[in-house]
Amino acid sequence: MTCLDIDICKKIYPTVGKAKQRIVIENLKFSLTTNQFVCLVGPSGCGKTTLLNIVGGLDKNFEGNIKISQKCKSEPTIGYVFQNPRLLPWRTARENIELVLQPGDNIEQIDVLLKTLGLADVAHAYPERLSLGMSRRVALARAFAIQPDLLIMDEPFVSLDPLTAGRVRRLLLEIWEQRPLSVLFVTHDLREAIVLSDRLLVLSESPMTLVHDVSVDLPRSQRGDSSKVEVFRKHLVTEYNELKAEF
Amino acid sequence: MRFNLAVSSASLILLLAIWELCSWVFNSSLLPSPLVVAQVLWMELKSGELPYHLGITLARLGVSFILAMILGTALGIFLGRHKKADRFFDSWLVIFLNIPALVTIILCYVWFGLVETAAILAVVVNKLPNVVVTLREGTRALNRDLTEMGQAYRFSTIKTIRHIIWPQLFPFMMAASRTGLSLIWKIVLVVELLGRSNGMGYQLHLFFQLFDVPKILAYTIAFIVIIQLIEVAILKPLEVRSQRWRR
Repeated sequence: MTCLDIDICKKIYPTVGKAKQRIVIENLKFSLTTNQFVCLVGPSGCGKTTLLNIVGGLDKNFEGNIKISQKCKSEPTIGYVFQNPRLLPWRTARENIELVLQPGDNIEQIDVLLKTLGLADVAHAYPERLSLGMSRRVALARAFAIQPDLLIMDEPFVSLDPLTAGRVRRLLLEIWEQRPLSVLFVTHDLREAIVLSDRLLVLSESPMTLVHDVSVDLPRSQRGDSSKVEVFRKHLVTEYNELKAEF
Repeated sequence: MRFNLAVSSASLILLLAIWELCSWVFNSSLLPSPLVVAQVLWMELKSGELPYHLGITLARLGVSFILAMILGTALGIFLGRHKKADRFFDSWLVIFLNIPALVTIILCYVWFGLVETAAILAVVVNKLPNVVVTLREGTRALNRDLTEMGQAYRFSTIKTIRHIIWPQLFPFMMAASRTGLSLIWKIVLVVELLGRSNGMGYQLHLFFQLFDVPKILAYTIAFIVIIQLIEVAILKPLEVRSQRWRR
């Protein structure tokens, strides 16, 4: 179960050498409810990755707090798909996935995942022998394998060919529909955001803060139709100025 | 592989031939022919003299090598992780790196007496700064992305060390071992020459006083063979095994 209250008063990158101190995030507040698929969009360099690191517990150096809501007390299992795959080069693709499992987790599902992601043949290859697209898919399999309550994804489908990207997107939605899972997904592709998410958080440039909280109310059954997605995208762009420049 | 073997045996045979030729030209007991040296080597082996002194030296080498590696690794990792401590102790390291081996050996014997502990200590002190510097570099070069990945996926400390840290430090450990072995065995001989009544260094000193060149050469050859065996049979396979993931 994940219900996270995210409340960041301030996140500062201190002065380093000639680079001045920079306020990256200021007064950013939102809640993530169970089973919600949330996409974050905003200009590049505005601090989305920093935000994900804070939510994922990697960056503890900020003012504010990330709280698990009262209703859901257990700490969520988090699957993190980084911008680059971050596989251990000295472990095979399969070992990379096995390593993140906790004792008692289901090992057989790894093979199913590998097969679905088209990785069955390279399961025992070392990451340096894989293409970037393949490595990305291994990283996705790794995040899916731990059966997370919260999935944090930082532009996970960049550099995948459209066909694979489409397949992985469908797999992600399948997994998301099967069991309670919240997703926090950063993307630069508004169409992708519309196809995937329930809710779109539009973020501003530094200091980053929340400008719009848009609910994506295009029914999921219609999202396979690219013309409907396109109409919805135009509607969003005309309604929200911030989206104009970027998308 | 077979070609390499042929080349290196051909070059070895050439070296022996040059040696033989020289000893024939000079015709002096101070430059015995390879055959004479081989006979002396065999006699010394059979009498048990050579195995005894060689064994003593190897034992000293082993103990001081292991001590220097363990202490040096711990200190190197510590300095690599703590910038302030590193800045403070850096000048110490530079000083210790530059103390001549002979000085440390003499001081150890003067301060602690002509005992085994002093001998071992002298060797360890000579080797230690080297290991520290190498492992400090290794620790500084640790990949933060991978550490974060482990953090995000809740790796335990042992798991982090075994799967993320150790594989990255291993090449540095190997470098330290290799230079360490060649450095230590030379120092061990000096330590034995100056203050021990057994071991290779002591024997060589004895032969020097008797101008017994065949024995000096016989001992040297035995030692070179042993060191090469350690390199080929232990260090090299370890390295190959640990690097097989590289493209």
